[in-house]
Amino acid sequence: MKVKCLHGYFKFEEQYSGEASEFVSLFGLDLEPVDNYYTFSALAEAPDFALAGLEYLGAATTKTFAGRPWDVMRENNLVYNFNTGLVVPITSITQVVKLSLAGTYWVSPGLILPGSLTDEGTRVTDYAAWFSRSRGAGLWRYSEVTLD
Amino acid sequence: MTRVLPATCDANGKVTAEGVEVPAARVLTQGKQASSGILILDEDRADYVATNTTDIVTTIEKMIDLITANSDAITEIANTLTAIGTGMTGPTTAPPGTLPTSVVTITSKVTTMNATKTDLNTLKGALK
Repeated sequence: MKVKCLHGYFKFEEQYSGEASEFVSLFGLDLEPVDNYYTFSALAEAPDFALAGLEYLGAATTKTFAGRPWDVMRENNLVYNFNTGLVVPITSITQVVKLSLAGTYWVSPGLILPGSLTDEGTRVTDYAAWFSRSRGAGLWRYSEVTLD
Repeated sequence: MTRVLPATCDANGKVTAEGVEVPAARVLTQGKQASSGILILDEDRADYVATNTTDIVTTIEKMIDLITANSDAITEIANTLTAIGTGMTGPTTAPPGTLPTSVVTITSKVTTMNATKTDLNTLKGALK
């Protein structure tokens, strides 16, 4: 299953039937179908606009913007923290992530929390990862990682 | 991606949508008095457009009033001229007895037209 993190918004795209439910049972994180992908339940109703001063999925916003949820989150520097189930400012993420190059992939233990800091002090804003039931919850393979 | 939200605008151009002020909104209509309308969001652009059909209805009503007053005044002038003409067939030069009343009527219609003109000027300065 391909996992896309788009500035803290998540898209899970099954390659094989059942991968989403496999992910849910393995991590205990609820997913809901949206269009042709799955996302975390807390993001399923993400509005396609934000008005500065009006909460966006419970988080304070600073910029009026209309677009796809991940564009709205990017413009307002928000990410989804799947550990707490909350949309939060990216600056509130203090977790440090270890990325190791393994051939043509980066690997990291577990799903990267968007906004995580690298050793260089940059933040992970976007990535594409692959979930495989054979690898379970162990090392994740990341084909693209964008740092800010 | 464009999003349209119901919104209001006060006489100072302050746009409100979803219960919050939207300082980024540009008022595309005149915005010189309070109105309700729509806020159009497209990426970081926010435009407000008033639902100004009441402006148009009022303008049309005032224009009808103006045309009616014009028509009445011109009709009264025609009637007066007809009466004067009728009186000019003989040796008398005396005006018809209805002349003072006709002049009052014409003057009244001019007053009505000027009042409507004032209303239209006021409306022009207070379009939504």
